[in-house]
Amino acid sequence: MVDWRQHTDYLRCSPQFFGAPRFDCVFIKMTEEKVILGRLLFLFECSVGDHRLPLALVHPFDAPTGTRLQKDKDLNLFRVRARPRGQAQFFSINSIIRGALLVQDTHFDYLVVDTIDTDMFLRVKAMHLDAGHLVRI
Amino acid sequence: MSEDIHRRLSDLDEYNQLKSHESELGDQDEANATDSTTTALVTETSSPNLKIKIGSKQSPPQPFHVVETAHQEDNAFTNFRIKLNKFLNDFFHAFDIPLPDGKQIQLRERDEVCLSDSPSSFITLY
Repeated sequence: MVDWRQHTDYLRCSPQFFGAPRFDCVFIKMTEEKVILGRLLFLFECSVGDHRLPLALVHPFDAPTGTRLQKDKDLNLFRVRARPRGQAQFFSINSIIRGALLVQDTHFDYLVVDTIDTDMFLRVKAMHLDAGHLVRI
Repeated sequence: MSEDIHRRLSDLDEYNQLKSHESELGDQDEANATDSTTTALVTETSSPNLKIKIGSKQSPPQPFHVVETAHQEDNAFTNFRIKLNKFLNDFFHAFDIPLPDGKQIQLRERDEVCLSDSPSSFITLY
């Protein structure tokens, strides 16, 4: 979103990545207007007939978060909430936009870190605006 | 200005998508002329897609029931095969991709899957 160039993003999805589980979070394009965050659980490629589909099982973090907390407003935080794990969904990996850094707040809640790079900053800002949040920047 | 550039790029993306879809349908028509199978097989090979590559060390193909058993304590994998079956049928319908032999995809327990769930699995976005 910053320079209109393509960048490389390595996303890991592994139960044993240098001795520890690592399942990266990602932005997923659901529709033209809707983007959600979620965690990669499983990657594979599926062949049906002559079609080969690279797929991902993703734990979606798009459950309703309810009324926005005052501290989230004050600190300009974007909160997402995980759906129950049983509601994991399949996505084509072509729907994945980029990786995302999230920090766990409570058991189901995560805060999106928008200061990792300028692209992330602009994407999270757009999500704030879509959600009707007052953006204090 | 940026909105204008964005709009133009969106138009270009849409055009490219349409072209690739048309060529995909063309390939499918050719494939239909020959003998195609409906067996679903998940492999770890790299995607031909230029934007995203899926990478992993090779592992032998596994039947669905082995995958489900390996993750039986993880709710995310409950009914893995059934949910994947539904996703694939919906996906083919949504993108107007002809189903192999015109039949609904029906994954069986003994169909083999080759998963990228190895220590080095990753997606590369370009």
